[in-house]
Amino acid sequence: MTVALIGFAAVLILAFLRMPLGMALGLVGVIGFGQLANYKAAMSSAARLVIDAGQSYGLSVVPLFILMGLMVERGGMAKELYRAAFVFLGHKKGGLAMSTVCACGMFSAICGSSLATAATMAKVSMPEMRRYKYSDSLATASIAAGGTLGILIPPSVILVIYGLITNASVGKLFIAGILPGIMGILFYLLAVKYVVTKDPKAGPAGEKTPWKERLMALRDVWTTLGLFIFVIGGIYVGAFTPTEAAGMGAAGAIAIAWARGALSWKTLFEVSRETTLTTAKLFMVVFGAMIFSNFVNRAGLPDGLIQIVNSFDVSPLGVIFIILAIYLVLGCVFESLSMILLTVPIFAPLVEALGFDLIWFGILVVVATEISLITPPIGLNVFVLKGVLKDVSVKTIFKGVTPFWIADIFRLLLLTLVPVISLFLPSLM
Amino acid sequence: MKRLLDKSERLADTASLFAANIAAAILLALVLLTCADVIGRYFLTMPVTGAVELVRICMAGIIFFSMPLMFFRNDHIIVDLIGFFRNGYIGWIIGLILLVISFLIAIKLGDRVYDYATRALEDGDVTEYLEIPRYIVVGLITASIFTSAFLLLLRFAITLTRPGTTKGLDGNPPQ
Repeated sequence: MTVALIGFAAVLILAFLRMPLGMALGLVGVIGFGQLANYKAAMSSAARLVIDAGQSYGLSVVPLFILMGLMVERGGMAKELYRAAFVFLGHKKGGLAMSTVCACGMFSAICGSSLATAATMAKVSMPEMRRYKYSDSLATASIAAGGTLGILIPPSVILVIYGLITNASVGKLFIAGILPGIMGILFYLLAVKYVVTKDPKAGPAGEKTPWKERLMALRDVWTTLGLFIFVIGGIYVGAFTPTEAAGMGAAGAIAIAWARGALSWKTLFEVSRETTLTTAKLFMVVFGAMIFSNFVNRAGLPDGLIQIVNSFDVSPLGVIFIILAIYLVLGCVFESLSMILLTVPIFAPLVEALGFDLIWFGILVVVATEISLITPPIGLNVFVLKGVLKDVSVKTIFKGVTPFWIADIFRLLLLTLVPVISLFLPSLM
Repeated sequence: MKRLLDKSERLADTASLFAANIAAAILLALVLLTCADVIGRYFLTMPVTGAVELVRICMAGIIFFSMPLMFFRNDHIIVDLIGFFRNGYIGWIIGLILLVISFLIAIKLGDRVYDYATRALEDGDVTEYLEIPRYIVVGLITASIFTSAFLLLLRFAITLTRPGTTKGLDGNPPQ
């Protein structure tokens, strides 16, 4: 176990020295495994993992869902989603921030990335919120927090990778993310309500939209929402495997973007190339993480952790809280995918040995990771927003995000104590 | 020498971009394949034979045709937390060391993957339904890893001629 902990420290050092994360994980994994067994076996096992994972059927959902998300982004559908939320909520105090949160939730339903959700919604909703003189802190915080929903509401690339590491069903993980995702939207709406109750000037009410316009706005988004229902509904009723659903979803997104005139052959090819490069980047880390995971398992880290837990006589739920606390701390310095790839291979066997459901744990991990996206000092979503909105300071965004962060902690607590919220829908499959 | 390296940089970038374009075409083919399989199964009771095998081959194509460009542009997932290690001479030296380490890892790994490709060729190993020789895909993986290693070496040489800067290690195409 000591060897594994040294290996873990080595990965952190190499990562901070800016070594590509996949390389750092793979290098430490091979050296560690080589020390415990022999180097030839370590290299052979690493090569085998690269060959097998590089042809994984289960992971083929990754490029397809990335393509679907990028197509939706390029197709300009975010604007219509925002408009649909605005016509229903815009006349309330803080209504534009609420619309942003809802639009982020809807956009997340077709885009599996939090960063893409935040960046896209920033361009759509920020000009409107400025027009209505919203405070920068509330406006940016609603985008940063709303954007985090991207990795929980299905389809989610992070959930696919979690499923691969733990052998949990990706379909069930997707379905399990729906209720916690909706809960996330509701909690964020409450956070907005709290902010505008405390400071009404932070989010003035907009004008009321007549019902005719509301219905027209709904008509504009039916294709996008229909795509979500088709993809996730298809997985839910067992009509498609996640890969087939992702392929159909990507084709649907291409068709919608094409029908709107937002897509040319050139754009289609550029988006496809962007997708393949993002996929290759993700897979580099996946390869490294699998090699590293082989090493920590061989070094007996998961078993060692189980023994430690048994010797300290901590209750199983207490262990979950400790793990979640570790995620919240790691989230301060680590990027979401890296954090999951580094830690899940270590914690998942322990959680399973304690008798917990890995689908439920996956949702907790993703919600904890979501929180890390808005936690200082790294809070990637905050920095993505800063990149898009250059005149707003990071401090302003972090300040505004605090009520949303607290709402997230409450949600995490509730999901931990009431597992049925995550497990109800998968149990019906 | 510097001019030659600059030219090589542009050439290597163009060549790896071409490979990434092949990956993009494979991705679009994968979309068509999954749609054809689903539509064939539900409406024509005629799913695509060996669809799972083809999806797996497409995956390898998507990842390993993109890999050389990713390595050459150093476009990786990096924990970019400490600015001190990013810029100036410190960034340059660390960049060079990391390129050497990455090169060695790629060579070692490529060597082992090559062994598997040779074994697949010697054994006449084929896929289950379509009987596609497996050495083709494993050979592609080998070629991708060795090409990436070569590009890392080229990037090392280019970086060496630009002391104190990390240009070319930033994920962007050469100007």
